[in-house]
Amino acid sequence: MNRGTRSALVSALLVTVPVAAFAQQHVSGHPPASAPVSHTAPAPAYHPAPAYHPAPVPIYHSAPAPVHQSNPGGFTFPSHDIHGAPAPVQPVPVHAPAGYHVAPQQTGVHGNPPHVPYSTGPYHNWRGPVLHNPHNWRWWGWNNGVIWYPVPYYWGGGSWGPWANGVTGIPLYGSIVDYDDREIYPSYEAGPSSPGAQLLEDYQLTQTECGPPILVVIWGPDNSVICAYPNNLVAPGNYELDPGTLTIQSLGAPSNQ
Amino acid sequence: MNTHTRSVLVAATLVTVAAWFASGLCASARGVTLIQESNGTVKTYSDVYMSVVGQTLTLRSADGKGTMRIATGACSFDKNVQRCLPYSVTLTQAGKTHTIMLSYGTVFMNLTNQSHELPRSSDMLAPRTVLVLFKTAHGTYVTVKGTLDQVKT
Repeated sequence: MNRGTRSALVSALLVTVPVAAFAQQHVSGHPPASAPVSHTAPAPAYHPAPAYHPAPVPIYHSAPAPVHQSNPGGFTFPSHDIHGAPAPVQPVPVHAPAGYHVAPQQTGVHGNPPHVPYSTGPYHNWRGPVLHNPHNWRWWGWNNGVIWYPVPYYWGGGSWGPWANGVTGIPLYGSIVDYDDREIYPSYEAGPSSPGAQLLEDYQLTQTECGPPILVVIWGPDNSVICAYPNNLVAPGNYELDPGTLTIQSLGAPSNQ
Repeated sequence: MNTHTRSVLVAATLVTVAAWFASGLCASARGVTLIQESNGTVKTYSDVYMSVVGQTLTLRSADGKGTMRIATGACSFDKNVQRCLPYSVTLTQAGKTHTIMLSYGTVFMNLTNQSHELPRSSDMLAPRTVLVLFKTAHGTYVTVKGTLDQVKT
């Protein structure tokens, strides 16, 4: 055996021995016994132990341990999670609403001038001034240039957070009452990291409960609405959200004024 | 350094690289799905095939008997991690498709080639990895995590 081979074997042994030691430790569950260290401590002073009356041991009724099963086959849901009637095989396709602008890097989709195709509360005449977002986002710039569109099932299409329609437990944050149409539009708190939260941050708005007068009222997708205190950027009044640029547009003045 | 020594070193290197692959990359190549019922029973499904086509995340059990489709939307970005809302979950099994009614949930996707932090978390999401959490209307929690086998946008 030459010198090179010998040194390679020595290196291999140096690597193997600690690994084996670690493996033994891992298997046995105990660390390797180290050499005992003796300390010459002074003898402890002896005090008789006080009379000890143990408290009655409480009886614990432990909860049954959860049952774990691995790969029981297919996906097994509780029967109440599965509807009796078969559902449509394909999920409902969701397309970007017509007229939405698309970021330049996305090809194949052509947008028209800004247009909000969804219903936005009782107002349909958004002809007031546009209050440009102070951040000055390009189209969908606030979303990494990727188109965002509302989806069914969530309040406001998901623009204000993951608040599913009809789910209890979401705190109501006031409401707007349209006495003309006898409609009530409930409002909820915008969820963190949602497009709505980004909008509030950009305009430095603080959300508050809808209902009181002299508030900033912002109408989002699918008749959703939130309210905020006015500030030096946004005056009280009704506004419509354009999700493409996170810009709000004021309601036009009534025709009789 | 002679030929023998070199071959020993090469072999040692190969063993190290193989061990690294076995511990990390290969283990995350497929997804894991947990279904926890409201009574505490947890079912774990490993080696789940995961794919994203458009806005739909498809999960297929290792035995191929069950397919779960999660339709997502309202996707917004938190830095480089995409966060979507699931709005439709269907389970196709034994020739039938059932709708799973949702209570709430979130789908996190990292479609980049680098790891990124999850929003408001110290946890990292590996490249091309998806993390799904949702609760059904009847209180069943479903958790899905794993590297995507297919991405088609």
